[in-house]
Amino acid sequence: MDSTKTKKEQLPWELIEEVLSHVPPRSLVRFRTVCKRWNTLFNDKTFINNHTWTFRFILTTKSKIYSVSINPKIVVRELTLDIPGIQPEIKHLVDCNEFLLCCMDKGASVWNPWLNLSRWIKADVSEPSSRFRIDGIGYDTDNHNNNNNNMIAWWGIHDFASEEWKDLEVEPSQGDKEPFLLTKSGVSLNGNLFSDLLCYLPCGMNHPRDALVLRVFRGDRFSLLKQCHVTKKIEIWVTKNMISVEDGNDVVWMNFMTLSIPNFPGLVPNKYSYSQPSYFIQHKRLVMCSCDETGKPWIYVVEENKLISKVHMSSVVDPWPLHCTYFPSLVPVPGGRRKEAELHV
Amino acid sequence: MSESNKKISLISSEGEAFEVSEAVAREFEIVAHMLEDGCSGSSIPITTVDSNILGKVIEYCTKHVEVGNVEGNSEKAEKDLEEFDKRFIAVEMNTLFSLILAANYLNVKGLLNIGCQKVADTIKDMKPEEVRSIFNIENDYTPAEEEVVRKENEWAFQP
Repeated sequence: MDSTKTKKEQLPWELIEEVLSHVPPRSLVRFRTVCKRWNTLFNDKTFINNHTWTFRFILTTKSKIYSVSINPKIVVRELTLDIPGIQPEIKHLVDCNEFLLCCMDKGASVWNPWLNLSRWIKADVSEPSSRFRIDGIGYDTDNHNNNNNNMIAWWGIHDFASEEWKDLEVEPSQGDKEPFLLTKSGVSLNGNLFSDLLCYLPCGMNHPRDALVLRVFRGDRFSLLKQCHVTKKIEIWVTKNMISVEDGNDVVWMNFMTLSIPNFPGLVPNKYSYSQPSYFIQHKRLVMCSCDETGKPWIYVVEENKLISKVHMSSVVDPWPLHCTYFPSLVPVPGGRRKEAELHV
Repeated sequence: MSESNKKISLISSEGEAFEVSEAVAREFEIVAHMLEDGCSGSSIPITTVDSNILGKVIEYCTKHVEVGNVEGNSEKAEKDLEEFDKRFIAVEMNTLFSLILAANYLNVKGLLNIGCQKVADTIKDMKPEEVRSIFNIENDYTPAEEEVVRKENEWAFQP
């Protein structure tokens, strides 16, 4: 062993990346100051999506919140959302790019679960609480930076800077023949919030238990999942071009995949809209999360017309969890607070 | 399998030969590929890895093959292996880097994983300047730029 004179070893970049993909998210945020290359790396979605602690879905039950990673083994972990003085019982869950919106009776929390930073938004007092619902986060398009986030609620705008609600002057248009999106969630694309009105779809719902879910695809396009309740056939449509704010009506759709898998279950267990599936597409793989008719959550992984895996997430104990896709980010919530449990020694 | 009794010599960068069973050698994915490609010679040179590190990687693979061979692999065996990994990887940073480099070159995924995790655990609470010195990184921010990035992420610097 004497032969090994200690020379200082150095790791090449790809191995430094490998090491960093094991470092906890909060430390990564501090390490932004190490050098410019590291700072850039931490904004790279590929890096985040390969990180050891990354996940793909969020599930919430009455008392618990879970993250689900698929790597490709499915791992379910419990998360905590701390809001002082409020028992977080989430009624509505929306994936808004970097953040997760958790709507409750008295307001909503804008949450970055990876950093455990959150900001509480009180409901508009002039609205009866039963109508309170936030459907997405968008940016002020004139001034596109993180400090100018607005929240779009069921037709109201909450300004992050002034903490006030304003009315949004949009009314649903009537009488259009082409189908438009029936899911309630807005879809936030590069900070532009697309609501139900802006985008015509290649197909509609023919049955209350058809699945129809619009998502962002490869960063600047849309994808649409449709499952016919009768045949259980699944179609994925994607927009041909990137979507711009101005011509949301001018969207060209093309079929991305069609799946007819024998005995594949229906993805909508009942006729209520909240039971639509969540899904994402990675390369040629389609990953879906939905509840079965008894309220048990399942993950389905499908590729090239074959069911690759079907897993019941048994650690999610309470039935009928809410679910959405969510890919972590290192973007802090504007004005967000973090509960420092470790401070109370 | 009778094959697993076959011995293979792995030759370190200093020319030292380490005799291992084929099953252990196959844990080195790079060696497994060589064997599959019909490289049937019984000695394989590992020119970029020195004797000290090669010895350690062989120790790691031998342990993992042993445990993998036990019938009816129990929870206890898994725990033992975890304990072994923990002890095995408790080395100073320079050796850790050498092990990561070797594991990467030889394609021993388990070792690469625990090696990277160990470095991550070690650096996670360090100051950015300490991290720079560990990875030999030059700070390419001007003091003003660095201050801006720091300010933007102030919350993460609070104890």
